[in-house]
Amino acid sequence: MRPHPASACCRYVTSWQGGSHRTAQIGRKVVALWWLWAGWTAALAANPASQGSPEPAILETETSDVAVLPPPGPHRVLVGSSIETGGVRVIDGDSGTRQGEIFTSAGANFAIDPNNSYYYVAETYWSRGNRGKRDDLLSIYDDQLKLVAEVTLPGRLISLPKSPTLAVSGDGRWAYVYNLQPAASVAVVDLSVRKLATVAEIPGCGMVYAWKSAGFSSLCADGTAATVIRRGDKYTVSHSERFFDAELDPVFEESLVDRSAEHAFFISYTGIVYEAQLGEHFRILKEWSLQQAARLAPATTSALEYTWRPGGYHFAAYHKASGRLFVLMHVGTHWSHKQSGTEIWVFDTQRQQRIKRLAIPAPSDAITVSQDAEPLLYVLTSRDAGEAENQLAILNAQTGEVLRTVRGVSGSFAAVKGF
Amino acid sequence: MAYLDNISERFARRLARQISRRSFLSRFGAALVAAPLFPLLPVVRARAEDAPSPGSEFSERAQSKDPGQCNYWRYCAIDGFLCSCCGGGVHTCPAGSTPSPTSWIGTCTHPEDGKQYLVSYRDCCGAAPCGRCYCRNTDRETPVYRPQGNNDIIWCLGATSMEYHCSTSVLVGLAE
Repeated sequence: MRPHPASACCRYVTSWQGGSHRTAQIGRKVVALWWLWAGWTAALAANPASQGSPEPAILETETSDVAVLPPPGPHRVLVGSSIETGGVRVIDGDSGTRQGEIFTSAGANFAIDPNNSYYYVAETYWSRGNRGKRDDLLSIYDDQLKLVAEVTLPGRLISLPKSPTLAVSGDGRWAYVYNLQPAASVAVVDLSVRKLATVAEIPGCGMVYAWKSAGFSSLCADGTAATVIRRGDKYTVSHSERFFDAELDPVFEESLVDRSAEHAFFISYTGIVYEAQLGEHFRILKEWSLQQAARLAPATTSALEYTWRPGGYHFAAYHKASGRLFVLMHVGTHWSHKQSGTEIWVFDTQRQQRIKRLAIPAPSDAITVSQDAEPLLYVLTSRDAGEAENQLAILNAQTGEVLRTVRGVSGSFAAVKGF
Repeated sequence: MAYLDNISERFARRLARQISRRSFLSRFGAALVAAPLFPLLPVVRARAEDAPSPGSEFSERAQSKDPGQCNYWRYCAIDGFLCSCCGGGVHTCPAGSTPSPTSWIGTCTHPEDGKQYLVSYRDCCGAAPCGRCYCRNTDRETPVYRPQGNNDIIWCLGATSMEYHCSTSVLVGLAE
């Protein structure tokens, strides 16, 4: 009988393993156990958690994308503009969260389209950092903060940012950029075609307080207001009667204008409120004192008289529907007009009475208020605020309750739609 | 009694109109503190005649010794970084920067001679912001629409670079 190959094999192997069948069996078991242990250890090392559980799903691959800015609610606020390179932060007042940011050059200014559809930045760059070709621009961003256009400007004032150096008309058609090189002028941009329309010379005057449509007002060094009217492609300038003393008791640059009603509150260093009707026929409607409205003696220009005075930079805010005026106040002498406010006084502008004093968490240089029926008051802490510096406090504008605080926010001013 | 009440009330109201509460308290407090010094009055009066009349809150606490401090008398309307702290001096730009040909103007009272001097605040331009000794003084400081008195403008107009570095204070002469 021909031997079966396997039998021959096995016999040979058996013979090779030393001739002892028992020894061979033990050896095979040891090898098998070793492989079993090695495999189990490796499996544990690979995924210790998987013991006894189903195999996990593999994480999906990702791609980079950009957050979509939600539709603007009434409590959206923009904070920014600095003497240094920085940005404008978009903040939701209801949650205190940051939603996006627009890059800006050093000394830039920004403004909001009346419909919250566009954001405008007036800024300046040089081709070689601190020198080279100068480039003045009005940069236009859409409601998703995407750059959609750049309009070249003939120049612009570079200063600590002040909101009236860039203004948009109440109908959203015109943008005005103030320039001082050193002659005073205003670059007028037609936003419907996104082109420079013309340059209006305003000798002896400065700043732009926009009207509802074509035309704007400025304040002048002789204590008058300039009325600048569009006539065809040109602008004509006329002056009001002198209504304030620009040398001894000037009105703040950051005075307030309701562009849709062309109604201005020009407030002087001593706290005199000049309510004015802007437009082709400028006139002073009322003149009253913040201190008298609070049953105090009106402040004087005496350099050693300590009393409550308005002060800061973007020092006041106006809630149109209620007619309430919010003003940062401090105790100081005349010429303390840039001293940070320690309280916010709330005035009823119809009755010219102070109706509330609001405590604020830290000294402030800039405030603004939302324009809805449940308004929020935004308070930027000043550089003198110590540990509270670079914060945005969000208050209930009616009660003064501090609702939330956003840290890491700095800028020369905060702005909301309409103001 | 009503007559006395009326007189008292009129006096109190007139006092309240003429001086603020804080001013009243400070004067009242000063009178209390000064009471023990009455015997020295002639000497004090002789010195007082030489002392300057205080022109502002700033000039009351101004000094003429240390130009590295914000209360140095010439800085009554300065806003920015002191060049004295940045390698320059009261009227000297630090190396690497250049003085601007344009400036804003202040009127400051010298604490020792009591005279008022015109001061030209001249920015030094071309280097990055110094970042040291920031001061913000505002005596007679006016808004941008009266630019010659405004200290928020980057006064590098006409310089080779608009980059702001620090601010100096150059004496122009007597204001009177």
